[in-house]
Amino acid sequence: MSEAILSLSGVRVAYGRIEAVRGVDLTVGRGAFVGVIGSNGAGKTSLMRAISGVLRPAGGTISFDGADVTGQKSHQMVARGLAMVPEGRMVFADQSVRDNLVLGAYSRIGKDDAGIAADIDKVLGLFPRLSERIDQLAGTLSGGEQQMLAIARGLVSRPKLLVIDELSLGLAPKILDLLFPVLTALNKEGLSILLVEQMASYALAVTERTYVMENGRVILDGPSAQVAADPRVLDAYLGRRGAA
Amino acid sequence: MEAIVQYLLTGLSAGSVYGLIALGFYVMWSAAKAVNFTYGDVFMLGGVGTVVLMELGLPLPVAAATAIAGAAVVGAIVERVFVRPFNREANSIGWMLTTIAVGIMIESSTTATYGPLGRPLPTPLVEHPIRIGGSGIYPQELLLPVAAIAATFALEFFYKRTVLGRAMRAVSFNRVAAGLVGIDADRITLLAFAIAGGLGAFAGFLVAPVVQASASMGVIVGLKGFMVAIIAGIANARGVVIVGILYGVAEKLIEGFLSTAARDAIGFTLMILLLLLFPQGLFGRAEVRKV
Amino acid sequence: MRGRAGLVLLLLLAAALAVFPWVGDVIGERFPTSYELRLVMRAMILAIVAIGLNILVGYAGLVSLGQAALYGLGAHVAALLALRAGFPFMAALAFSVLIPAAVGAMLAFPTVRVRGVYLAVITIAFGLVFVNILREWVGFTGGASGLVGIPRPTILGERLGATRALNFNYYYLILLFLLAAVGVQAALVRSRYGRAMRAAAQSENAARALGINVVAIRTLAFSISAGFAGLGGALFTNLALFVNYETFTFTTSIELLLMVILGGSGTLAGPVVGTAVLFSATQFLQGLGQWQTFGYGVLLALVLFVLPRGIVGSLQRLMHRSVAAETSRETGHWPNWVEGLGPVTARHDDAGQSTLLARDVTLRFGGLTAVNAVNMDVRAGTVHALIGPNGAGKSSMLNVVSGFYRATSGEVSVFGENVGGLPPYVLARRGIARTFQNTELFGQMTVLENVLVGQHPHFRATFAETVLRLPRFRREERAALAEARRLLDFVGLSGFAGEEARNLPFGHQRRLEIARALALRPKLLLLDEPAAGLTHGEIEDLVALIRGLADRGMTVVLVEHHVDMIMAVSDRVTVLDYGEVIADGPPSAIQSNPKVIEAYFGNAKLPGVAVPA
Repeated sequence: MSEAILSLSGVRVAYGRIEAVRGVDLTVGRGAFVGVIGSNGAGKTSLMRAISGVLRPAGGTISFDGADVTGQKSHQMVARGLAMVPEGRMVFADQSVRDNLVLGAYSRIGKDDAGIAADIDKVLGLFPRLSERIDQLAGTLSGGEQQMLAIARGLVSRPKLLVIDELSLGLAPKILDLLFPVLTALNKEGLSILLVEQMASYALAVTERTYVMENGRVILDGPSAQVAADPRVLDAYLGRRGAA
Repeated sequence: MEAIVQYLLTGLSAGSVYGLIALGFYVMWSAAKAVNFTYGDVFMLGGVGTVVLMELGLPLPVAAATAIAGAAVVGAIVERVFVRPFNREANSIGWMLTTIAVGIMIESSTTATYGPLGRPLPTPLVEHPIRIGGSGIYPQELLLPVAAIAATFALEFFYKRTVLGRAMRAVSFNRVAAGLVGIDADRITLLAFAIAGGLGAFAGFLVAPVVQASASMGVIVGLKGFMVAIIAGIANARGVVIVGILYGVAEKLIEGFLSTAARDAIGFTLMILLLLLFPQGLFGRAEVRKV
Repeated sequence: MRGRAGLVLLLLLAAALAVFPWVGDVIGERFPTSYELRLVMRAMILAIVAIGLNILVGYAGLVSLGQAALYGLGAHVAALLALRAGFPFMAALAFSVLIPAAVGAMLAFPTVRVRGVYLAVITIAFGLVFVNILREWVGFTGGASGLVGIPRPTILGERLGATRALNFNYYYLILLFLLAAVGVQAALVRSRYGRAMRAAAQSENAARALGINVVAIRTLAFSISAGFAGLGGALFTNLALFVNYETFTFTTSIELLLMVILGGSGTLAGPVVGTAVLFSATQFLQGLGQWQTFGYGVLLALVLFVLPRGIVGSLQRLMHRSVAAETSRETGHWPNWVEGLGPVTARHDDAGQSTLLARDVTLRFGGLTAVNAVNMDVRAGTVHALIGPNGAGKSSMLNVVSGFYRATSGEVSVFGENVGGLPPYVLARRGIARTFQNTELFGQMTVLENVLVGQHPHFRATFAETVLRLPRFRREERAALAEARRLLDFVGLSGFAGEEARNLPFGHQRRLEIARALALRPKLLLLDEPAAGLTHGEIEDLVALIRGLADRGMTVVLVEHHVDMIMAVSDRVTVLDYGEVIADGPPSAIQSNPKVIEAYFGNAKLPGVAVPA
């Protein structure tokens, strides 16, 4: 593996005196597709919020693209090339699909409008359903379409690393069957992706490396195939024991 | 009949002031989910500042522009120092108390230095009233509704067509999401308070020739403007201005047909009742549903 | 430990106030002068008003910026009754308390719908309306010249005044009222009423789920606070023998709020200390002449920046911190079936009965159907799991059953009665307890207090019995405390009883939430993802706890993700997907149901592993 795009060392996140993330080490190599799985409340979303600058970590260091970015705010992280698709999508429901996409390239508006238009055309090629709804308000889209928009909005910022928090939340399996191939294709083109997913089977199927979180800590990590075969994962997330 | 026309005209003018102030509150609330309770005093600075600068020898346009710019800076400072640190958690109200404190300071220091009495701000538009039928009104008073409507459209244009405006809407809709597309939400909020500050001072400057510029001119007007904004649902520019104008007209009708003394008692009671009947505001939810 | 600092301050202050009129006799100077004496009396009156405001702001969490109007209302009622109707002092005083209390109750009405800044605006407007009326209704209130010639107060023919000849009897009467106010505040705060006020302020939803009628408790807070303000007003009238609107403007409302915040809102001694300090500062500020108001603004801002918790609040924090550092805490094992837990599970439906019956329950939000024609039959004494992927409608269903949402159509019956449309607090009192997906504890209350809030509906002592701390109240309070401690033992948190709930580690928060729900002595317990965020060991304990409760007759509905936990603990499973029931049956049958497998696990192919089947 070449130099890492993202590496975390001993990262902690606390809300008041409660620690949601307790010392996590995690690395995403350049061009890698890495998954983080774990149950509700394991600290995955808090960790993603720390990585993307939404929250300030209580401890540890985060380095991105060769620089120490610990404590940087989210808009600074976007400028450095990290795009996050947040849990719950958070599209700008009161603005049109196109305006959402344009805002995705916020820092380039007025400076590189032609480039933005080209980027938008490109992401619309990935998600044709969005081009059908380009002038609709984002709030009127279905859950799956909103997730597509959130990913597309992230891509327009020309990220080096795409972080996706809870891709599957509230989505039907058939929508997921549509989304995952797009992510795989993007990754093949060289985009590094960090995917947080509660539906462990999906994450394990598409990623090359997986971290398993429990109670704010990483309890297991390794190549996804190996993680998927680990009895602890099967017990906790796939309910194998009961089924056997 | 003549009397009614007179009430409508003066009401339109007074209501436009409420509308302009409510507009400023709307801009601040959208960005920060908090407002600046010194806003009535920022409004006052527009009038008093212009008068003081003119007394120092500056021509009217320069004096007004300087006062408005100064008020914008005050708005920004209030946001940075007194609102932001006290608005970290959702539903916190610390900012309410800190900005009330600043309001007290601005008003009392103005009273102490400028004096408690009002001073005129002479403009050519308050020399001769216009006669409409039997009713009279100064051109300056008619300028107010024009300004309110112009400000509304300008703001709508700003929100819909400019990058900054769209960023402001994004921040208003979801701060976290705005940050994740690269918008510096803190800076945008600061800017919103500065814009609101300028807008408030602009309204103060426009109304000063009619009411005289005094240290206390903003307190009650600011409060009424805030209530107007809340009752309108603080959700869109047109709504707050319309409610502002309606409230101004209602006040003049109460003054005319009941009594001047009862104006505020009835007016505020009306506002309390409206807020109880429409807790989301008159335009608050209806707007969303129409879509 | 908590409140000790305040108590010492209070006692010192009371002693100082008691000897104050006589200081001159000891030091042999003309001190205090009658002017100084009156100042102290006015400060005591303001302290009474501030105590009332503290109940509202500090405990019930409702900010009023119009308290001066209620203070003024009391003053004017006293003045008008004495002047126009010839009421004796005590009778007028009674009305001066009751009328503002009634108006306060009306002011509470908006809190049904609005809080925070909206409520503040309404109270400001109320204050302005009040002053406007006083100023303009000249025939009734005297307008700017006010009401003059108010007769000197007497009690049973005895003249009241603050002179040596009268042994400063009015001074001591005010002091007596002040001490009574302090006492009532303390009694109220340390009872189920005070706990309910704080609970409603810190988590409205959890309060409702624990049988607290939030509207009623806020009305009570407003009413008491207004009554205190009115009492202060009447005492002021009979001291000044003159009233007009200028004493009761918005500025006074701010001043009162500043007293509460400066002293420490939500502390017992705070309002008194705050009043004492601010009142002294005011005397100093008067030296600033026209800059006096400016000084007020600076002071208010300074307090908010430097002492956001107030003087007493900051002191308590310091003391608490030094104490907290010393004690070591041990987490007990759970479930710990200690002696005396019997009553917790004593009331339950007979086995086999349908404790919860849902028929065709549908819930829509706008165009979105969250729950679609769901049928469920939960039998008494069983553990019934409700599972399904994220967004399947499980939590919505739980919210319908506990009264937080009203079903768009369909019928829910619990304990054999149709409960559609009943509010959560009524359902809680009937025996439905619940926990929340993202634990909703009362973060700034102690662990023990959290459990005590759960016992709110069990108290029978009346409000008067509570405030006067009569035997029935004390008996019930003792019993509640004992049971709360048993419940903490039960979940292994006895060592944390005095800790603020928000400081607990996550797993402990879940335990506490369960203990609090059990304090209701529920017949039906609804658990919303209780295992989320727990370790494997903790989940095993949780399974034992749930099983133990069901074995003792309690009915448990469990929303969960952890498949193996569901398999281990439940008697029956209902599976939801897109708001609809896709399977229902014993766990073993559910696990092999292909529809469930697809909904739950998707149809992705695992590298090297087959989808569980």
